[in-house]
Amino acid sequence: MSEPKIIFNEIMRLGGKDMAIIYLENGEGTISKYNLGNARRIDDKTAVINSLCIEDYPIINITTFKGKGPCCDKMICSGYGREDISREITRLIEECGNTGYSSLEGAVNAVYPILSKMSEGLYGVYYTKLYPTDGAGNFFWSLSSIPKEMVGSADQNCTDSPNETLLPCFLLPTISPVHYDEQKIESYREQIRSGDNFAGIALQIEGLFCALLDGHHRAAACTLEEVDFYGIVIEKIDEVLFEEVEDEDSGDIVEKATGFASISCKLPFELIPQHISRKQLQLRKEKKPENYYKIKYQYNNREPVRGHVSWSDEIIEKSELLPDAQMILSAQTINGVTDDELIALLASKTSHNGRIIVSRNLYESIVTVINFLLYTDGARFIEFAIAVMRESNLVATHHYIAQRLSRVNDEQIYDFFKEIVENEHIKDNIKEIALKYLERNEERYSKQDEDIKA
Amino acid sequence: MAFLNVDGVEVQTPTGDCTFIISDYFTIFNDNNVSPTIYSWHDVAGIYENIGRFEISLKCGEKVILRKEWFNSVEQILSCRAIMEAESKDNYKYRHWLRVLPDKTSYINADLPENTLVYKNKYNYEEILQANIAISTQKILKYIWLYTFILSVITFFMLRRHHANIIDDVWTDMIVSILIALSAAITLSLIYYLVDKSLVRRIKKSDEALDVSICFIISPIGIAAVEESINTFNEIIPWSEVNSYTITDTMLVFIIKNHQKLWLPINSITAETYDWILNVVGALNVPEK
Repeated sequence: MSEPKIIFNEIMRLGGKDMAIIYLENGEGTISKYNLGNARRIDDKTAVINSLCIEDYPIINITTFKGKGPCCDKMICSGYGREDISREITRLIEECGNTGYSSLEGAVNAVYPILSKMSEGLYGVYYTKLYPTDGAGNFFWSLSSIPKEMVGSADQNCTDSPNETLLPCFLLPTISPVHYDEQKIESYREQIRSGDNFAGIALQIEGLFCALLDGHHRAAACTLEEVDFYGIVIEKIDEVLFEEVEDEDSGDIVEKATGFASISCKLPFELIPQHISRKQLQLRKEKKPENYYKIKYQYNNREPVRGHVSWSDEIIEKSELLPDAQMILSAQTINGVTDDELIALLASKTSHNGRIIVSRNLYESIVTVINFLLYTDGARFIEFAIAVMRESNLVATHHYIAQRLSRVNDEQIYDFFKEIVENEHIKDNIKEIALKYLERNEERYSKQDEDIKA
Repeated sequence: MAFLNVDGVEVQTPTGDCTFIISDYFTIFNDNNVSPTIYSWHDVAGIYENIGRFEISLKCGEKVILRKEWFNSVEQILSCRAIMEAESKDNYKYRHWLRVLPDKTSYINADLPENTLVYKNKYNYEEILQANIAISTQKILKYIWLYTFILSVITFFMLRRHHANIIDDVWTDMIVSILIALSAAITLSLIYYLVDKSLVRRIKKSDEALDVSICFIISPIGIAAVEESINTFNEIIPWSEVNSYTITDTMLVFIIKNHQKLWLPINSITAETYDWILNVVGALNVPEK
């Protein structure tokens, strides 16, 4: 077997970010995602298990329901921990995580030892902001060994979106929660307070989700200190991109392969040499590894529960405040929304000046815009959300919007929820959200009121 | 879909101006152009495999010919065939000449259980010929006897009609009619034998798998005979597809989907293994014919 080597490495601007495009030849395939066949315990023959495997161990298991199409979210659960694999690989990952770099070229060099352990193919490497949550407001390390449907894990974002690529940003752990070390986190927190920056190494495995190979404690420390956590993301580019183009001869619109694609980039054939395209096109996407039966054995014999950790209230609360998958999907699927369009939505219209604002579905449009504003513009979000809550025609969206409002600590929202609690016509489930919010923020805002009065 | 583990194949025309890639997609690079034309296997209307080439008909009306001499090795031809034939299961018709191994469309992707028997062997042309004749003889023997009997009766009555008034000739006519019928039956058997032999001989010309090492897999979930170069222990023909089996001196022959044969050479396996195979087959109620 020949040694793994990078035969193509070029930095390109793709999907609004700098990305190193790499072709790895003779990759070992020790760290890779593999298809393990039909899912165990699920009575559905179209359910297929894909696992991120390190050596013979499935680390993260993803259940895909093939019959439900590419827009269906997947079920994800934890498998073995990185601590089960050989010392050699663990040390290699840790060494990569401790290597410093100041540019994307440096980052590629830093992650090269990990890359060489992956299977042959085309990869994108980039540096991006990562949220240490599971995309639903839960701390990322709390991923259970029981499969759970994860919003944002679908192969495609199936809205009427003008943006066709998404940037992965949520994390999945590769170390068991029993290895969560508060002392280690405390020391990282002190380093953050003294101005240090931390980053991790992640491998994009499904939709918006990346498996965090190194940097679990650093990610936790960043969450607790409410600072951004960045990381190098390695992403496999293994889809062939088919687009509708005009036929040169007939002038008809035809579907034609124009390049390669992954969740966050579209790579036209023109940007890479022909011999690289040829190599990539020769690879089989569903190829099983040589140690397939060993992996399958570990998968079938894994323990269902791997330790239990009581997460601190602080980390739970701070994780809840981070953007969730719905916000990220909305923020990445629409480019912007004008005030006139917001007024049109309040009037129950889905189009403005002959153009569909988000989608033909009013509920979906309002929810997407709410999430978009929540992620991009807090002040406009509060204004629009309260306006929607006051609109009796849009009652179907009220419960969802009340939940969204309750994620933001703001005096205007506090006053609005006070109003809701006193209103007899408001439904109980919304009042419940408002009461919880008031209880949580009572000290903060009632004290402010007293100060103002004084 | 089976045979997803088989490596993709790249084939170039001798002039080097056209490159074909047979993998998850069917790709054509023309005139060293950076952008290839990529067809999904749904875009293929049909494939015909001839002795020296693959003819790929596309739904857009184009026809692409891949000559077998353009491939670098026999293993490449076998990989190309396995990918195209496995993809044909859901998408198009794959026609080919006589082959020694069952069609790749009969296989499913499955995990083999621990109690699976795997052994490698090369097919011996003479053994296949011998086994094929044994099966054919077994199959046509009863018809030959019936044919001989009917022919002798018809000949007898024809002769009697001619010698109606001569009683003494009855025995002579009977003997003559039996002799005529027997010689006709022998001629027929001989023709059948020659046709059968030439058909098996054609396999030698048209099937590259006859010259390579074959992996034979027998497990409680199914049976397989796959070229060693493309075997990954994940493909199997389920027992539900096996109609019956026949034992000859050199082979165990399984009939798949009523028309395909899987030849299992028994000369290289031990008596114990042979008994194990028969036990598995017996336990699964596969009828012996």
